Amino acid sequence: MYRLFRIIQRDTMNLITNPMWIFFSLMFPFLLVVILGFLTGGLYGDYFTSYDYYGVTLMLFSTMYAATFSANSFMEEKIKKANLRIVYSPIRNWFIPFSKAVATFIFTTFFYTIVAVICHLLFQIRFGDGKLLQIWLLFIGMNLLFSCIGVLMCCIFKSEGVANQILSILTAALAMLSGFLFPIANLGEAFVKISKWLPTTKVAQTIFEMIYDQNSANFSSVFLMLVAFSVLILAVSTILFNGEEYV
Amino acid sequence: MKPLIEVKQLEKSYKSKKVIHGISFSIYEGEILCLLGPNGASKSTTINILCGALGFDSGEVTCKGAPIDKNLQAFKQQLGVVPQDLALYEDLTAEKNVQFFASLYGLKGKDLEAGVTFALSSVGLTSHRKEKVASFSGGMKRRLNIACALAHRPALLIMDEPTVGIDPQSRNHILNSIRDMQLKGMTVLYTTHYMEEVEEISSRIIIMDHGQIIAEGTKEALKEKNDERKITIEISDSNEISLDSFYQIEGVKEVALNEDELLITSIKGIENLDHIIDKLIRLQQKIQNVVVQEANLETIFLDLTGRSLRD
Amino acid sequence: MIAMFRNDWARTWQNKARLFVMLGLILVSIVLAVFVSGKGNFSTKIGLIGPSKHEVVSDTVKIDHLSQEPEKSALALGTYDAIVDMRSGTPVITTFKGEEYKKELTEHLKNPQSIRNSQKNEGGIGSMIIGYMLMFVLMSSVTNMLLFSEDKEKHIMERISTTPVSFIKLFANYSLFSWLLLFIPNILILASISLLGLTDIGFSVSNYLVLIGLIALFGVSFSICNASFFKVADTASMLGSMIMMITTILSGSFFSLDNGNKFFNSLIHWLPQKQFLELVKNIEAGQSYGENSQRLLYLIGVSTVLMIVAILKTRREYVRN
Repeated sequence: MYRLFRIIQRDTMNLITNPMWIFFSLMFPFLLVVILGFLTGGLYGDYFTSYDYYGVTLMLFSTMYAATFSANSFMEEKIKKANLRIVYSPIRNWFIPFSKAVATFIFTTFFYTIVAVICHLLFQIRFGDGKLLQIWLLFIGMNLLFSCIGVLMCCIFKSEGVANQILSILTAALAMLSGFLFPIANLGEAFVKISKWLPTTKVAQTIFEMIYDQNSANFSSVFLMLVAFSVLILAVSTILFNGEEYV
Repeated sequence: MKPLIEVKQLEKSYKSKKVIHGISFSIYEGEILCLLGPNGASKSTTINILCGALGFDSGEVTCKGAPIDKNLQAFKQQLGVVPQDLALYEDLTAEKNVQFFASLYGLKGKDLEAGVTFALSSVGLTSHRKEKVASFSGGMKRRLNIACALAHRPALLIMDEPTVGIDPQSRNHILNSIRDMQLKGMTVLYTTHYMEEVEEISSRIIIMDHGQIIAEGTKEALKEKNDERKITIEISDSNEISLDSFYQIEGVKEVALNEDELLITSIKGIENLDHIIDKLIRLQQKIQNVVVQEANLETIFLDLTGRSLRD
Repeated sequence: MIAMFRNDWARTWQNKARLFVMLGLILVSIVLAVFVSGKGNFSTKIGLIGPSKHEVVSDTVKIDHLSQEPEKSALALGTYDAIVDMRSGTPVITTFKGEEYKKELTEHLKNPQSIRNSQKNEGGIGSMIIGYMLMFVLMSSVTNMLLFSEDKEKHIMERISTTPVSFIKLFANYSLFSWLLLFIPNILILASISLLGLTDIGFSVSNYLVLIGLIALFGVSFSICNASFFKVADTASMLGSMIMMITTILSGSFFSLDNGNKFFNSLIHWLPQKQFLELVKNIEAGQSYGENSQRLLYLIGVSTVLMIVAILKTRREYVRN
């Protein structure tokens, strides 16, 4: 476990010492909330502002970008060779993809939480005071899921560039269909029906239910779903990852 | 000498193409075994199998009698691997790099500190331990690349072309470090394309080609097996000499003239030296000096593997 | 240039998985845009509780008759824009939208013909399809610029800069290749849908050739300009995708974002995507390309400027006098 801990530590430090990634993890969600919140202000009222909507949905959207961070943690050119030197060490194969997912999860959870606090302070975004912990758990559950998805993409495509290419479009499409960029009802009945099947939609729905209906009936099932999917995806990644293919 | 690693009838294929054809060899404790071969000889494949990073199709690889694939973690614990590519975190200091990789071998606390100090001093980077790798020269990076494999004092150090692209001073330092490590009891498996390095440090040499071992032995033994000799004869009047006539002597491979020196390459050792001298006398040449040189490793290597370009 | 083109294709073909996944994503986005868009797209959605005195007939207002009040989260999520409770006889409106909307709705309930289409996506089927496709086409253009970014990252550009190939030719090659990679699959899929008569795609195939070609040109120019500023491919890709996503949404490709703020509306007006969408609507309304020459010139002009910036930036980086 000491060796696993050291690898996770190194991977987390690789992310934290990269100024570009810190910039993206802070500015990306913040700018999205600010820009869309400001420009759509007129479409909402005083009780429920555009920031209340986008503060939740765009933070969820940002958690989806954790996949890009985990892909980078794995195979960014600058650190790829040093990362893969680990294959020669006396460690279990699964340590490598596992640590990337965990490191990304730690990194993104930390910085996204900071952004959420800043947005809350600046725009008084409702994050459900009474259910704050549960809502935070749902956010980090999404974070964990997409951190694992990024690693899976790397294990499938063996290239961070390819993984990122696919992830960026997939993420945008998923965000659109989940109603993160604008209410899905605006796109029509057909899209609403598609949206209902997506786990990401369920997360957003549960969060809004918890904030505005004080109803956390779906929290456990949704949170467990996120954790279960994460574990499954990570398990598949560790099976697919074969150190041989990188030497 | 006891064998540390024994390889028996090792075979490996990639997508139904066999790349290693049942090779067998041993690595003895305390020796520096140099593995040579042209590009595409499957040296890297063999190295990666010995590192435990690649599986193999059949055969056996044992370490102190125990098959490596039965307990890979324990086997890897005894290895230090210096990959051909520089595998370092550029944004970290030399010390932090060594610390990290050493920790993957279970070193912690005081042992870790001691291991880092040992590794950095072995490659002469102690005074640079707090500097970032990004500021290092190519030679320093190569030395650090080696240091990252030393901290846990491996029984077997596997080095894949560790001196690529560096200046003679750094190369010299690295070779001295390797000799020092051998004196301290470490076994080294070394691959390189630089024959002068092999001449300098090897205890034994294995030459591979097309996935097979084509020669094995000490450099002296290999040279002895090779009958090629370079004969340099200092003569009195090079203007009067016709080089073509020397090709009629059996075993003469090449003839050249360099001012007053006649350079003959003979593939029959010195068996035909008397015929050569005879001819010179008949040509009324005065022989001032005769020097006979053994074939060097490069010539041996080229003779064994052929001179045509490889993929 | 043919040699460079062949090399780009060989490199792309080596990564078949990526190529086929990209094509798959393009196919899915077009299928969604063509078959699913515009179906049941309403500008306002109301949940009505109790008996309604008025028979509301409108193709832009969706009314769901509910037996009980839905949760407030339905308003937050936009499932309903307002809940109208008629059980007491007079309408009690609950909405998360502003007072102005409440007033409009109250007016409408008194007079059903007066509803203002505040959020209706203007334009026909073709505009809607292109609107939905737009973000994916532009984001694909960013990620397709991987070859250029890779050449920079792996120092191949340094090698290329020592050859007699001009930077203009080089960039023309990257751009053309990326443009074709974007243009051909999109057009083929749309043309196939049209030729097979699966559904109405709004425009003729020849119109799509022009429109997709035009937006792909802008996408490629922006992408190469974006990539020229970054040494690391990932940074370029992330930032470029982010910019494309935000600006495309702001341009109203999915729905109108007119918030009454004149300053920002005028800024958004100058977004190339906004100009493109206006062009699309006008062509669909029957105008000719000649009548929209200013928009065309603007789009081509912006693309050219971006391309020139990319060439100059890269040349300065790799060729020192």
